[in-house]
Amino acid sequence: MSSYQGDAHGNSTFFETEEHVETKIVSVYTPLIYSAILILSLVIFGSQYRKRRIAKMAELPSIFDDNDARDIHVALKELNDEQPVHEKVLKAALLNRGAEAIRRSFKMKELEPQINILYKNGSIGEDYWQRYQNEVKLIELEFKQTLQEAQEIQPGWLQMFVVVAKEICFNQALARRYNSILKRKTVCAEEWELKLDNNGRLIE
Amino acid sequence: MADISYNPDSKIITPDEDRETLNIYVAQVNALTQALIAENNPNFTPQPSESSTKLIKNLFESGVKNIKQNKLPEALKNVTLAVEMAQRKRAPWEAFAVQLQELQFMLRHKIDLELMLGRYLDALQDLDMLLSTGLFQPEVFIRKTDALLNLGQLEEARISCDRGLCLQPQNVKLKAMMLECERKLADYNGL
Repeated sequence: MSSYQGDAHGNSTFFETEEHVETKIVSVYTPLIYSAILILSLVIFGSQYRKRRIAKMAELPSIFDDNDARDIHVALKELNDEQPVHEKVLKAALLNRGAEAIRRSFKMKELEPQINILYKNGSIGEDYWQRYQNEVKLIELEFKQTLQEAQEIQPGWLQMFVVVAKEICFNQALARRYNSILKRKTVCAEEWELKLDNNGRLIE
Repeated sequence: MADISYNPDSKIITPDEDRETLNIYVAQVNALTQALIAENNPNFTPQPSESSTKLIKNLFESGVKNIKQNKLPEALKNVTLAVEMAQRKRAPWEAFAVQLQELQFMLRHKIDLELMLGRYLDALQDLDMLLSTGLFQPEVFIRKTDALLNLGQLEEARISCDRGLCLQPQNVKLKAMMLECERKLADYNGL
């Protein structure tokens, strides 16, 4: 009981000392400067972090080979500044670029389920997963660029451009297969050591 | 950046370096340019050209006529020309579904003619073309096995026959061909 009284007395002493806390007058700009420094450092850190991440992503190799279709179109556009290139040649290069973007996006869609399974199983690393994600975004961007170019070349062509580019993409795939027949025939004849006459018949 | 040259007179582009993929893309652009020059409508659609369809049909029908008259080499020439015409004459944006069906139909006839004339290597390439367009049917594998057996590629023939039997295990022709493949392989191995 006595100790309780003692504590109570002690508490009263404590409160008495608290009342004499000295306060200092701070300038109104102090919190503003503090928050400005905080925000500025966060912005600098954020931009640096983003730059490093983009640089790291840019270092990752592409899943596809070089985009020759895009390079041809860009080269023709640059040539157009030096000497006039026929409008239909530019249109053809743009259609080819659009068809290539569609082909690549189809390939990525075909790959998606397998990549997802492999990533979930841990069969592919973070790097490859990042490469895949980058590629999907880059292809989307590339297709949007071709659409913008199509709109610039011929206003109102956009909808038909997509339909036509899709057909071109499939037909080009068919043509590539058809055009490789002759080469495959030569390779087969060499590998199997076949001798053929002028009519394409086997010489026994 | 691709190194290419442009000829303003012929409106053709040529690659400055010899690279297979670049050559393919340049050829594709040139084919598109030629088709666009021939096209007057700026808002062209994937509708197949009637004049091309008529031309291809006529060539193919003259091939069929020659088959009926038992003129097989002439028939093969007509059908080959029809296939070539379909590849060259049609614009690259004409409906793919129509072009694919047309090509598959003509190639089937071409393959039969090639097999009848003993042009097994040509038939084999066309059969591979059919398979690459997704036409997986027992009839295609029967013909492929036949071509490979005649070319002396016994192991390949057995694989092709096996693929056909996976699609139709009770196919009598494929079963007979499998026996033939096994007999020839045993002969080859001295058994």
